Amino acid sequence: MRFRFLHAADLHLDTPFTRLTGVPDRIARDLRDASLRAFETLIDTAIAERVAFVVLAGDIYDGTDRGVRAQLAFRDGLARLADAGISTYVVYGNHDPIGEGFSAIGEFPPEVTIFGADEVGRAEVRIDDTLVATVSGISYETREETENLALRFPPAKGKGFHVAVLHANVGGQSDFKPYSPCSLDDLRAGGYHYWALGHIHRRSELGDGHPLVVYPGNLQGRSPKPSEQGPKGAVIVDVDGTTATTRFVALDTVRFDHVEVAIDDKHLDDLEQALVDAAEACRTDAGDRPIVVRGHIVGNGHLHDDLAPENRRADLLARLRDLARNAEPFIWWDDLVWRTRPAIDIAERASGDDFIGDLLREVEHGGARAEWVPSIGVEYRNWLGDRAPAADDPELFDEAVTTALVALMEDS
Amino acid sequence: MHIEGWSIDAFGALTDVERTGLTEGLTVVFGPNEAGKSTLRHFVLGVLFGFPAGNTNYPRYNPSSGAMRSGRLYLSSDGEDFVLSRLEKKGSRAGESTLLGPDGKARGDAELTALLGGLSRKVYDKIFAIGLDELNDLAALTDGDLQDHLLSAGVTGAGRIATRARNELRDRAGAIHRARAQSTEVAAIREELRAVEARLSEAQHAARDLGERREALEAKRRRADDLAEAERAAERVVQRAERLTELWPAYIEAADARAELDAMGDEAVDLPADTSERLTRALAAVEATSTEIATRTEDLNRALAQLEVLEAGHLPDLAALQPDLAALQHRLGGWAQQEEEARTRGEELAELKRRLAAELDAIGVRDATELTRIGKVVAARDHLKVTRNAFDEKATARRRAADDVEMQSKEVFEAEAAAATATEAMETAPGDLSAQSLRIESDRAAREALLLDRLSEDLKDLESYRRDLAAAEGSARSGDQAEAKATSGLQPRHVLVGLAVALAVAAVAAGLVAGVLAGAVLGVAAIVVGGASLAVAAGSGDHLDEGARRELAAKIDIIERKCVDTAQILGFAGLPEMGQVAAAKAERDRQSAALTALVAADNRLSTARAAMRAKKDHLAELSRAHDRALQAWQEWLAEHQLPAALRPEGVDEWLTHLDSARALADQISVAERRLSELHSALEEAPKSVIELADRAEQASRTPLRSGGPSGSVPVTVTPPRVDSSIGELQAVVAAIAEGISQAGDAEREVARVRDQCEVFRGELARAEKFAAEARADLDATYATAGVTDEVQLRRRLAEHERRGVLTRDIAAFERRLATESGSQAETDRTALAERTPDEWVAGRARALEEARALATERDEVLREVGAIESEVASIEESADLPTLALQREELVERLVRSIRSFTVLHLAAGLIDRTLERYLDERQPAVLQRAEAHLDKITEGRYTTIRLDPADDATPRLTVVDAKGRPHEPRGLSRGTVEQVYLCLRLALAEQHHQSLPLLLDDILVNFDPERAETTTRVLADVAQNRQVVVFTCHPWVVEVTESVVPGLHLVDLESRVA
Repeated sequence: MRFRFLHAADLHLDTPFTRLTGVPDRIARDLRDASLRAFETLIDTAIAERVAFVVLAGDIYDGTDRGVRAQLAFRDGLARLADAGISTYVVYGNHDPIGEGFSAIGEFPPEVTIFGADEVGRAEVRIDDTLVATVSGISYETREETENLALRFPPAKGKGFHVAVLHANVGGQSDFKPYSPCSLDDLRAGGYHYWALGHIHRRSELGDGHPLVVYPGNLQGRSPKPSEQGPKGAVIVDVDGTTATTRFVALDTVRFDHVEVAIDDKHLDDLEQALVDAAEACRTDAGDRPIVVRGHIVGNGHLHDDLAPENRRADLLARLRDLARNAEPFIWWDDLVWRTRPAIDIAERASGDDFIGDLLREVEHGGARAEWVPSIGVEYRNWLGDRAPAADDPELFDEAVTTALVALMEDS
Repeated sequence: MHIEGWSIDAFGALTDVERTGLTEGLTVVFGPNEAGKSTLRHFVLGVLFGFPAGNTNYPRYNPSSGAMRSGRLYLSSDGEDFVLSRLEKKGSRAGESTLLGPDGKARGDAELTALLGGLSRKVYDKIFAIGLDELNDLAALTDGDLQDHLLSAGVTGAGRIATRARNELRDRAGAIHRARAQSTEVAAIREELRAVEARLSEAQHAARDLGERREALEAKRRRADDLAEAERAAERVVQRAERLTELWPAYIEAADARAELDAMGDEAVDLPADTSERLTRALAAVEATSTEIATRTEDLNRALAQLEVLEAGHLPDLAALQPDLAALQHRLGGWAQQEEEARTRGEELAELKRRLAAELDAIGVRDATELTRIGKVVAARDHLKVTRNAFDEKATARRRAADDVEMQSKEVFEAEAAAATATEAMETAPGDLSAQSLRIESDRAAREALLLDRLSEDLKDLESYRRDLAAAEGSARSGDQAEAKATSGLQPRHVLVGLAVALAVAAVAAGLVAGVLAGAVLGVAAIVVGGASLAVAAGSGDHLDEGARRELAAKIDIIERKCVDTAQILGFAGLPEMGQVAAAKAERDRQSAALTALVAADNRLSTARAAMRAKKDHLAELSRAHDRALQAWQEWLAEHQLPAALRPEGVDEWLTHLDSARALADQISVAERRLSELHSALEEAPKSVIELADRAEQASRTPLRSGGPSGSVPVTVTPPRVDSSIGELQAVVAAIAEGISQAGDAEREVARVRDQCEVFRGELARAEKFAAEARADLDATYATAGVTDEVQLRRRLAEHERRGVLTRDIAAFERRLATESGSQAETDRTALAERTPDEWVAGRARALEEARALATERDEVLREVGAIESEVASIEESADLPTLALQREELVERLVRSIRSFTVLHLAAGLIDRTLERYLDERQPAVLQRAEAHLDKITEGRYTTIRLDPADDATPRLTVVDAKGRPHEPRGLSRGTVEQVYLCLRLALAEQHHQSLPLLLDDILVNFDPERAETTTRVLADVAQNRQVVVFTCHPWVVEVTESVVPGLHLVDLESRVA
């Protein structure tokens, strides 16, 4: 029998947006509500697509605190699905482990199945009294789930299409926490047709499609980080018997993206126009959604010297924000990242017989850089986490060299 | 690399200035103020590194002439010469540079960069350019700044000081973050973060309290419900007390009623309920029937009296006339129609006769009686039409022929016009325009055209020969040798030329005499051949002898005379110019064309006139045939006695009129017969009406008595005439009918009154019957009540009514008790029987008090419920948590960026620090040693050492040590000595640089005393041993000092502008 289901993960409902500064109230409100509105769009899409069921593979909420707004919105959304005759299967992940946090929701509709953390739960999906699919899943008990939960899934048995729902890091993807670490082989062993995964925010399908191992990515981008940029949403899975095809649907309500512009021989107005044009193109690519865009300015040229002072760079950012002030849907310039160099030939200057040459050679052969990075207090480290300046960050040192050069070459 | 010279096209005030021949070693550029010394120095730097753009700190030196800055430097490096040119160009920031190598070929930018040691102008300025302003600035520096400057002079040269750059970076880093500092950017963010996190924690706790608040809410709601129930119970007690109090009076009344009923006993309890109504109704009926009987009796008597009066009168017997009257009225209708038809028919007959007369007139017949005869002609109708058709064909042919003649006459007219136009086009048309004359004229024109062509050719040849002759005569005059050669060199070719010329002369003469064109042509051809040979001979450079020249002159003479003759034939006076001949030829061509057009027009006219004559002949023939056909037609009409005016083309119309006239004659005959019939029928009408009128008058001759009820008018009519119209007859009959109608009305009135009497009798009988029934009903009512009269009955009724009132009072109480007490009715009844109102009032007051207390408590609980509900709703709907989380994340991001900026600045400062440290360790000793040597020489041994001492801030301090080993802080030295220390360090730094680039020194000696100036000059001369040193100065004494120190000094005097 043919049917269709929707797979989403990492909803992070009512999640705070990170790495943004200076956001005006008007846009902050939209950002604050973006994850909830994206979830509403998910519900609308599931109903419009007439899916048989929905699977949500963990991190429904952003934290163990589970915001009240988030819980109520989640309950309302699942109730709408239930009213439309659509059942929902949910596991919790590292952000919302089942054993932590509190619940503001008394009872879910009977069409909702929350898989527990003790063992792999199993639920049958029937259409007109015919068994079409079996959904299995397990939630996290605690935040730092280090057990390979995939191994707990018993072999798939019985007729129909078998779906396994799990929040896990398959293949040890380094930029995400190694929770429930497992391998593709672990997943292949169970005989499931479709692994509905969560945890990795980049959309991807792993393996050769047998079985389908799918990360739908998170529902709504949350920061200008690369993994949070681009279209975000869910995967619609069309099933015919035991074969399935997937297609992605973008459901995000605010799009994060970045543009890159080289200064080369540009004048300031050329640079500004290039950035504005790039942002407009970005918004068009986003299907005319609101966008939060970060400008990466690269290359070398005289503009580097002209715009070296922080206040001038801040002025350019303010100017871009001002130009986009009335854009509808909004364009918010999150920041400008300067990776430019002065209009000098670094390699040539490095061979020079002067102080700058000595300085560049010092960088090249200076040895233990880690010792150069200043330490900061523990309190700050707690706040900064993995965003604290690191000795192995080449951009940090490039920026320092550029800053030193600018300081030395500035006219007295 | 050193500068050998320059060439300035335009730069500032300098234009077209060139100097060359500068050598390695020391050069002094001298010039007073405004001589262009600074301009020259900037020109040198501009050509080397690019002309300054508008957005730099360097002066632009735009030429006052408005020209673009341009010029070149002559350079030498490693024994090879280069030319570096630079031209200011729009769109190019530094201007367009070209480097030409020793081979004169352009070299790439890389070679220029290599030539300049990869330095930018900034770096060059810092290391290789030393200016007076730098030295002057030293005087104004603080101790620390002076230390920095001196230290920097030996490290980075002039300009930006490394330590200052480092310190500024440290300051900026410190503004962002310092350990334990509270006023830094990071500390401010930290405080904000702490505050937001505290608020966030509170909001999270509030969210966690949600469950507890919900349980409290449910408990309060349950308490509120319990209180509401208790309040309702108290209210029920109050309501019962109030109910019993209100029921009490009714209860007492019901009890009294029961007692009175018990006292009344059971008498007459069975009296029917409607007894009183029946009595009233029966008494009213008796009275009403008595009144009705009296009224009906009176009506009957009055009707009977009226009938008696009517029946006593006499009525005329006119009714018998009614059938005849109706028949006559019907017939009168028919007669009226016939009379109308007769009138219409008469009008139609008159119209038919008028139309017949018109048709007869149209066909030429005077009397309709002739139509019969003419009708026979109808048999010949086909003949008429055939004849008409034949005649039509002839007429058509004749019309076409006439049209042809008309058309041809137009063609003749147009041909005449064309001929006239062609004639006008010829200025001198021949008087005789016959074909022969025109042909002759045409031939003459052709001949003249040919002569003109020839004359034109001859004139060209004549001009050519004249030129040849002139050339030959010129050659003859140029030398004897040529002449001798020409004389001895007479070739057979020239003999042949002579023969040709002779033949030509003879031929032309023959041609002219005979007037035959062919002869002239032959002659001219011969002359041309001969002349051409002569011309070839002359043109080839050969010299003609005298004889040949004479032959050529004779030939020219012959052609000239021939041309004159031809010109005379053509009407020219004398020998014409080429232009005149060409004009005459053009005029001749024009006339020839006009003549051709005239001949064509004449041919067209002749053709048109011939055609015209033929067409007119044809027309005349057709006209004659037409006349013959017309005559045959007239004869045929006469033969058949038809109107002679009938034309063949009018046959169809004539026949139509004939048919119409015959049809009209038939219609007139029919109409006349019908009219006669109608007139006969209408003669009967007056007779019938007169008869009926007589009978009516007879019947109504006896008048009615006066005072009758109606219709008492006799029938009187005026008898009609025999010739009365039907309308008049109808008026008489209507008068008769009116009389008959009035008689009928009188009879109907009698019948009506008789019927009314019968009605009144019936009504009287019914009234009497009703009266008897009413009486019987009254008696039955008495009997039912067991009484015999009205008085007894009314007493019985009063007793019965009282019993009813008491019974209803009791029932009303019972109903009220049941309604108000409901299920409590029996309990209430018992209470009413057992207690008193005072007890109930007291109980009500107690219950009221209790209810009020309960309501107050419930309100308080409900208020608490509302508060908790608001609290829960607030928590559920609150966006504080995400908003605070967003604020926290924003602050964290700011912190990330600030810490990163701090780290970058810290690293940058550290980098400069390390470089400085390494520089001081590894490179500074060599610089210091060289600088010490220079200082020793300049101060003539007074100061011997420059030392770097460690200081607190890790930046070494510079100390100068004199010959006696005494250290001196720079601030403690004289201004001149400080400048000399600085200069020594700068010179040493430049000398240590691996690139041997020219040192450009701008009046650095002016603050020095003569001795120090001299010793410094010696140091410069030492430095100039290994690199070019160019000293710019405006002071003659500097020149003198330098010249005294450096014999053979290369001096560039800008005033003289001569190298």
